Amino acid sequence: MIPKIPIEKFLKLYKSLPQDLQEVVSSEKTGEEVWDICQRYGIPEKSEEILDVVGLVLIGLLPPEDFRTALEKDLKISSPIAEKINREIFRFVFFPVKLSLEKIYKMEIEEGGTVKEKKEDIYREPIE
Amino acid sequence: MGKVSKRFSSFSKIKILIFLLLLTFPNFAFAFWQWLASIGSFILSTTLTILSVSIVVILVLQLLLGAMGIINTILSNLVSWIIRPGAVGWNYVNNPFVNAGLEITGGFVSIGLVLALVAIAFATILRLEGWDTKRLLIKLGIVAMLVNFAPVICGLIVDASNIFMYYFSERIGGIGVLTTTFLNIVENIIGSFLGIPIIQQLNTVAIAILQLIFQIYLSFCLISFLLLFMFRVSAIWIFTILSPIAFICWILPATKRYWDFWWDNFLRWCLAGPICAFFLYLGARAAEIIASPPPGTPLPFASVQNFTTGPLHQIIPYLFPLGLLNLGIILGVQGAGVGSQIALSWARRGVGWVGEKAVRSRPMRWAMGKVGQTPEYMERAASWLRRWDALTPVASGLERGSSAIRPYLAHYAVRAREVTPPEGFEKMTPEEQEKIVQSPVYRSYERAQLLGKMAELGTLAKTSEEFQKRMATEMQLVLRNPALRVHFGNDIKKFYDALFNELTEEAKLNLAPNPQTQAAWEKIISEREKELREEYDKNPEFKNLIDKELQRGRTFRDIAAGILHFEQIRPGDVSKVPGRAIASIEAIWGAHRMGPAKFQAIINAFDFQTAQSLLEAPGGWNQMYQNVKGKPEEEIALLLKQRKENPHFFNWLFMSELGRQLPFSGRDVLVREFRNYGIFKTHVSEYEKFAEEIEKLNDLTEMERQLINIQHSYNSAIARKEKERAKMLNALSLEIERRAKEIIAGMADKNEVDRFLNRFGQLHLQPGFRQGPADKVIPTINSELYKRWQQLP
Repeated sequence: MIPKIPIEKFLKLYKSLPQDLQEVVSSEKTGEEVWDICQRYGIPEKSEEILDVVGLVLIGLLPPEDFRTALEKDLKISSPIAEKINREIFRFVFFPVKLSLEKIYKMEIEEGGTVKEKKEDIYREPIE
Repeated sequence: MGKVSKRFSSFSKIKILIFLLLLTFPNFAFAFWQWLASIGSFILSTTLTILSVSIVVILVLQLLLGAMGIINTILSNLVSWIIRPGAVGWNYVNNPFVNAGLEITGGFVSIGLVLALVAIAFATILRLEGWDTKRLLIKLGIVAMLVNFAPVICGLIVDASNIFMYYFSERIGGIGVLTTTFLNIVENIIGSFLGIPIIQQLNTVAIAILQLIFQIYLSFCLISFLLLFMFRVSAIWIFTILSPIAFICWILPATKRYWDFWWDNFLRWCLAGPICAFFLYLGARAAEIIASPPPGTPLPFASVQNFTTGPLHQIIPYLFPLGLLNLGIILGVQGAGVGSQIALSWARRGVGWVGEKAVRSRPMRWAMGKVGQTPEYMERAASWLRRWDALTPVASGLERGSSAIRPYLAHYAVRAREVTPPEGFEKMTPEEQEKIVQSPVYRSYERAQLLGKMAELGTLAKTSEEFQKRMATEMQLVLRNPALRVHFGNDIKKFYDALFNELTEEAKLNLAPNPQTQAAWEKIISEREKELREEYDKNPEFKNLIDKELQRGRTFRDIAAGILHFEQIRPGDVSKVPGRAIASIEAIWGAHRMGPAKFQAIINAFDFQTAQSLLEAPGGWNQMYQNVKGKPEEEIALLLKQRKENPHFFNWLFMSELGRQLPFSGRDVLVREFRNYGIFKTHVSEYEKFAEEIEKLNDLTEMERQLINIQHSYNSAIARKEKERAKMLNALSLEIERRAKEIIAGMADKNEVDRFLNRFGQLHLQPGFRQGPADKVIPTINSELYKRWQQLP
C-alpha cells in the first residue's frame, strides 16, 4: 500500500524541486508514459498505483534504487514484469531528469535502470 | 414697380401653395419640419465644431508662432553678432587662451626638433627606404626657422579668410528680416481671422501651420549657423595652439600624416566662415528683396497666386531664402573640418526637442486629436446622410474616405491623447495611485490609460472595491465611444483582465476587435448563460450565489461575459487579479474551462486553498457532485460532461502527479465505475457511444410514447366528432321533419302528393341521402304523406 501524502506537504516538496522535476511532476506526459508501459505489460489495473510510486520518486521521497522493490513488494507485481517496468520507467520517465534526481538523491542513474551510489574519485596517479 | 409686384405675387403664390400642401398632408409636413430641423442641427453642430476647433487651433498656432518668432529673432541677432569682427572680444590667434596653449606646445618644439634630427640620423645609418636625408635636413632647417612663427602664419591665413567673411557680414542688412516678415504675416492672419467666412478659416489654419513649419525650419538653420560659427572660433584657437607640433610633424615621413590632418582641417575651418557668410548674406538679401521688391518688379512665383488666395502667396517665395540658408549649412558643414557635423546634429536635436515639446503640449495634442478624429466625424455624417436614400452614394463615399484616411490619422489621434503618468507613478502605493487616477484633471480616456498601467503593474488588484466598481462603470462608458475603444481598447482590456467580475455584456462586446469576433463572443455568452440558468434551476447553493450577483445589478449575461473574459485571460495575468475577483462566480464557472497552467498560476499567485475553492465553491466541479450524490447515473453524466467541456484539465487531474494530488470528487466516481483513469480513457469512447445510443433509445421510447398520445388524442377527437355529428343530425332531422310537415300540409291535391312521393323515392335511393339527417325522418314523412293523401279528395 502506497502512503498518501497530504496535499500541503506535497506542494511544499513540489516547490522545493528543481525546475525540470517540477515540470515532470506537473505534466500529464508522465501519467501517459506509465499507462502505456502498464498496458504493454498487461497490467493496466496497476497503472494508478505505479504512478503513485513514480510520484514518490519524483518528489524526492523514494530513492530510485528502491523503485523496483516497491513494485514487487508493495504492488505485488511479479519479478520479471517488475524488472521490465522498472527499466522502461527509468528510460522514459527518470532518465530525462537524471541530473536533478542524482542531485536530490546524491547518486548516479544509468539508462538501464541501475543506480550507483555517488562516490568521490579518490584514486590518484603516483607522482614518482 | 409692376415687375416687382409681379415677382412678389408669384413668390407669394408658391409660398401659399407649399403652405396648403403641408396643411393638407400633416404627416408629410411633420416629416418635412423634422428633416429641416435635423439639417439645421447638423449644420449648426458642424459649424460650431469647426468654429471651436478653428478658434482653438488658431490660438495655439498664434502662441507657437509668437514664441517661434521671438526665438528666431534672438537667434538671428546672435548669428549677426557672431560673424562680425571682434564678436568674441579676443583675436583669433593672439588671446590669453591661445597664448597659454602655445606656451605648452612651444615647449615641445626644441625636443621635437632634436628627436627629428635623431630620427634622421638613424634613418641614414639604417638606410631606410623613403627617408631622403638631404631633403629631410632641408625640411628640418625650414621648420626650425618657421616653427616660432607658426601662430603668425596661422593668423595670416585666418585673417585672409575673415576678410571675405566680414565682407559679407557687413552687407547683411539683418537676418531678422525673415522673421519680421513672417510675424507680419501672422499678425495679418490673426487680425483677419474672425472677419472671414468659416470655410476660409480652414485655409487660414492651413497657412498658419505652413507658417509654423517655416519658422521651425528657419530656427533649425539659424541654430546650425550659430553653432557652426561658434565651433569655427574654437576650432581655429585649438589648431593655432597645435600649430608648432604640426609643423614639426611635417619634417618626417612617418609623422607627415598628422601635419596633413592639421593643415586640411585648419584650412577647412578657415574657409567655412566665408562660405557660410556668403550664403547667409544671399539668403538675407533674397528675403529683403521679397519683402520689399523694387517698384515695378513682379512678385516671384506669381503663378502660385492663381490657385491661392490670402497670405499663402506671401509665404511661398520665402522657400528660396530658406533653401539658400540650407545650402549654406550643407556646404559649410562639408567644407568645415573635423567636428562640424556635431554642430548640425546638435541643431537637429535641439529643434527636434522643441518640436516634440510643442507637439506634446496640451493644446496641440487637443488640436491633433481633433484632426485625428476626422474619420469619426465623416462616419457620423455618413450615418446621418443614410437617412435619405438619395444621399446613400454620398454616405458611402464618406465612409470609404473615412476608412482610407483612418490609418494615417489614427496615429495622431492616439498620440494626441496619450497621457504621461506623473513622475514616480510606478513606485507609488495603490492608495496613492487611486487618488491620482480619480483626480478631476484627467479625462476618462486618460484615466483608462492610467488604469491600464495600474493593471500592468498589478496595483489595481490592491485598490479599494469602491474604486474598482466606479472605474468599471466609467470604462464601460468609455467603451461606448467607437474612437476611444479603438485607441484605448487595449488599456481597458488590461483593466478588465484584472477586474473581469465587474465586466458587463455590453463592455465585453465593445472590447471585440471586429464584428466577427463580437458575433462569436455573443454566441459564447448565450451558451454560458444557458449553462448558468440550467445549474441555477437545480443547484440551490449556486442559486444563492447567483441571486447575490443579481441583487447588485448584474444580469445572467453580464456574468456570462465575465466568465468568457476569465476564460480568455492568460495564466501570466492571474497574478494581477484581486482576491475578490478570483473568488467570484465568474472565476468559479470560468474554471470549468481553464487549463492546468492557469490553475497552477493561481496556486503560485495566491495559495492552494484559493485554487481549490474554485472547485469547492457553489458551481465548482466538486460542489456539483454533492448536488447529484447518490444518483449514479447523474454522477457519471456529470463526469462525462466535465470531461467533454474541459478535456485538457480533466486529463491533467488524472495523469499528472500534481493533478492527482488535488481533491477531485469525480475521482471517486471514476474509480467506482471504471477502476482507474486509464481504463476509463480506453473505454470512455465506447461508453459514450453506448450512452449516446441509450439516449437515442430513450428518444425513441419518448417518440413512441408521444405517438401513442397522439393516437389517443386522435381517437378522442374522432369520437367527439361523431358525437357532434349525431347531435347535429338529430337537430337537422327535427328541422327537416318540421319543414316536411309544413310542405305536406300545404299540398293541394293527390297528384302533388304523388309527384312528391316519386321525387322523394328517387332521393331515398341515393346513398348520401340515406346517410344524411333526412333518413331518420323518412317513416314520419311517409306517414304524414299517407295521412294527407287520405285527406285529399
